[in-house]
Amino acid sequence: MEDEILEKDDFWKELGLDEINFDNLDAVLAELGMDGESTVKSEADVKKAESPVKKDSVKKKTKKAETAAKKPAEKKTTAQKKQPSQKKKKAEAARSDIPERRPTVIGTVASTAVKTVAVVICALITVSLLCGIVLMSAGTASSMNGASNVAILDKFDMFMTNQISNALDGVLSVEKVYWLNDSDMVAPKPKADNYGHVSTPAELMWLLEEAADLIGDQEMIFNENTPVWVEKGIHYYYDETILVITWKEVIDRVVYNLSEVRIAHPSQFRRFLAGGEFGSDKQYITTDMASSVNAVVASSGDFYKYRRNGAVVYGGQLRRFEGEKVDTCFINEDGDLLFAYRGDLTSEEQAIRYIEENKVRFSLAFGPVLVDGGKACPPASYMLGEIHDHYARAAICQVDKLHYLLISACGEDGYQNRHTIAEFAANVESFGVQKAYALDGGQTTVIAMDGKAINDVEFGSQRQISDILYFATAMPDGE
Amino acid sequence: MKMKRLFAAIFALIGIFTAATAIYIGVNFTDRDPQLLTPPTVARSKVVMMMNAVCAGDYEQASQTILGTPSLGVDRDAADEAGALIWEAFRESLSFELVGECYTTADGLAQNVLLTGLDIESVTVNLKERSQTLLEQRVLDAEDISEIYDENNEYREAFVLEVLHDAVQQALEEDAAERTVELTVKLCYHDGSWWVVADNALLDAISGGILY
Repeated sequence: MEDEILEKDDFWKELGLDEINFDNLDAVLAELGMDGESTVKSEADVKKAESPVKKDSVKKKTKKAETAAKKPAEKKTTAQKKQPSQKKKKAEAARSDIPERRPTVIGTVASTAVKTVAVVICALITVSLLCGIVLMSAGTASSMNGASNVAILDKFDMFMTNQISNALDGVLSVEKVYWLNDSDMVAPKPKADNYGHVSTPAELMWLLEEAADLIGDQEMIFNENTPVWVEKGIHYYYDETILVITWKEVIDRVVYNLSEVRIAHPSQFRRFLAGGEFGSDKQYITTDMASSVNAVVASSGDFYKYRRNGAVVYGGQLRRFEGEKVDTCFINEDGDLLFAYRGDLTSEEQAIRYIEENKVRFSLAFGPVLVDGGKACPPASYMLGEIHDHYARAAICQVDKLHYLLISACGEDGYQNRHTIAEFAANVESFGVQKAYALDGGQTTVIAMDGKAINDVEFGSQRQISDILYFATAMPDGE
Repeated sequence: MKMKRLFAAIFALIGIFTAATAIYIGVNFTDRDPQLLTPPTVARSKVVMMMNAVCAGDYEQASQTILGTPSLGVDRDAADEAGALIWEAFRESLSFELVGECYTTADGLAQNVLLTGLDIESVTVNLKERSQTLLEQRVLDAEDISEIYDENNEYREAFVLEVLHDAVQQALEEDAAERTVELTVKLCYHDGSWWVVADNALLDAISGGILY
């Protein structure tokens, strides 16, 4: 120790300092002002303080060292050891003298906030980790796959194709409807094989069944109980557009020739003027005109060329007008019979208006009206037809929609009676027709079918006349 | 000193409580859907964008909002006139209404939507009867038989198609009914944005119910 001191002394001496006595360090520091109260001193002061202190302390320490060198080292007792050294006591005193740092409000709040946030963040992370949920979704890859292409319109087209197919399935299976143009001079030729002949009504019931579609829900006049003149038999024609059944009945010894007609379209009820046009001077017999236009069944007309009474309409045009003296029967585009009684139409303009409003195709100008609304209504007097005399009579009757009856009442074989208009009208009514209009009677009266006259013609030969009305098939040739 | 200890005690309690809560939630609510504090408006607006495009008939625009941007195949007209009439009527009839807010699902988000439009089946259900009636009427009204039948005595195709077109027109005016479908439009987050997930229900609804 003493060697160290001596060595140190040499060291310090070299530095120009005397021996430093570390036992007095605290005092030295106190003198230097380094006692806990931070006082800033100038370097000069520090140096001043150091230098004399150092010199003094060195001196003191030198003296002490000399004293100590002379005395034997004294051993400290246990009690002395336990007692804090003076140095420590002074250090404690110095610390106790140092005032404590008190926490500021801002600091407290800040530290509290930081700790709170840290706790919350830790809690959230813990929760999310435990729940297996990643809240931070940025950059997270989705586990879903994108949709593949969808051809919406392709599927819609398929859907519509099926709907259209279903819609047209029933439509295209609908029976075709045929009709004729009024401007057509000649109708399609009836098929020879479609004509037939039987003796009794019972033999023809199959035909009524086969024609059920054409007949519809209408009631036929001809049935299995019809009092047919069996010897003369029953003639018929049938295709999808027309059914004609022709038979004879004897009423009051007058032979009634009846031809019941059911057609599919109004255009099959037609009128032909000899020469093909109104006003032609040509005249032909009924059967020839019927054959020339391919009529299935035809009747002599009103012989319009012979007289100038009534309203004559042909091709939808009023050809001649006289409305005061005779009843006129108009046929409209629906095939219905419309009656204009004498005096109903008093002017040509009125007639034209009537024709346009009712869409009249052609007319018949003889009369009178025999049955109207299902009731016989023969007039008490009439300009034409010798209504009170007994003559062969002819009539066109409407039974129902597109359902007609051609009637001629004349003599045949042993039945040679004739009827007046009133008697004729009463018998016509008995057949159940709704409307009936008298045509030119006498020798004019002919019903033609399959190129032959059905009734016995008065005086044995047909009169050449100016017109016929007829029913034609609408089935196209070759069908 | 005392304040320090007090704060320390408080934070200790908070920490213990938070940890206990986290453990409790983690153990007992593992299957629960995540709860959103606020629904993402971007996702909802994606649904609106898609439905607006569909209602405007712009299916190409709508496909841009669907995950995978699939082609919806509505880039041409319907194959036939009758179909084109119905499709056009369907497109013009579409409207939608959002129901409630966006909510979370296992795979992302979802938004309920009410889509209203023409019930295409209601137009076609009576098409057969209408076509038949119209055909019969047209046949009767025709001035020339050659307008209807060809040289083989069959109905002319153009005539029949015209009848069908008019039957559809009539059906649209008299038989058409509206149909409202409640959809759940699903969304997922992918590549930095929200996408509509097109499922069969959605595709069927925007196709008039004819897809599936």
